[in-house]
Amino acid sequence: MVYHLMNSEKQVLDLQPYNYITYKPDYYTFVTAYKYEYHCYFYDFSAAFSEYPELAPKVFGFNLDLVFKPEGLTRVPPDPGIAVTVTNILKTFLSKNENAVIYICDYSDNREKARFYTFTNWFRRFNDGSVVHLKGMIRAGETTILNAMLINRENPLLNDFIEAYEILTGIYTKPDNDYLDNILNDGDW
Amino acid sequence: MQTSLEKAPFQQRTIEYFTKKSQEAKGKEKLLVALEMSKYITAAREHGLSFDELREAGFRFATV
Repeated sequence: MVYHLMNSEKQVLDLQPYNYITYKPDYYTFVTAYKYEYHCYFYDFSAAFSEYPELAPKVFGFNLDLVFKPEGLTRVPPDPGIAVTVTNILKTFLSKNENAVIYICDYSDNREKARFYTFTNWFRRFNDGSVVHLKGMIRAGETTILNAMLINRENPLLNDFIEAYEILTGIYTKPDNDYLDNILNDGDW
Repeated sequence: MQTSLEKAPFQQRTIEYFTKKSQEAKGKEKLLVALEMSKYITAAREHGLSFDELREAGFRFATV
């Protein structure tokens, strides 16, 4: 059993990403073995972080769009090559600058959980530890919106991004300065 | 503030539309606006808008 597990792990690690083309400064594209064509791109997300002027220009949303599918095929066949390629593009994007990436799952077709868990699973399998993956959930009325933030572990703004993300998604509420001063000056520790 | 994600006829937008909406939004509502923008970009591409045209409308993209 141990041998099989190790062997299966090795197969995962041996998977190669599809060759992708970068159309600077807009998007990346790749075609799978089944001839599906994808575009993935990072778009300006600064408006959502307008209260954090140092972080705002470094935050990008991430989209993965299927732009071509072969005739006769209605459903994308299981293809770990897509996961390896997308995580590879994300890791490269995050490793070369101080950027952070946000991924929000579209819920308009009720498939947000499938998208979220697929994406989470990709990162569980193919993250080499270089990327911090924070998962969030926000409620808007009856709707739950699943999202995630990705940041390079070596990003000097890592802690600032995490705090801003936690406040934005409602996980954490930062006390105002007066309240914080009162707490810090409280002698009854 | 309401952010509609229902299927509606495609209408061309500029970045100012989303910036204004985001300025009016508070806290996590800003993420809803960001989601609307994400869906808009996908829809715009499906309706034949190029990245050049999206950039002319003020949308910004990044690669490395």
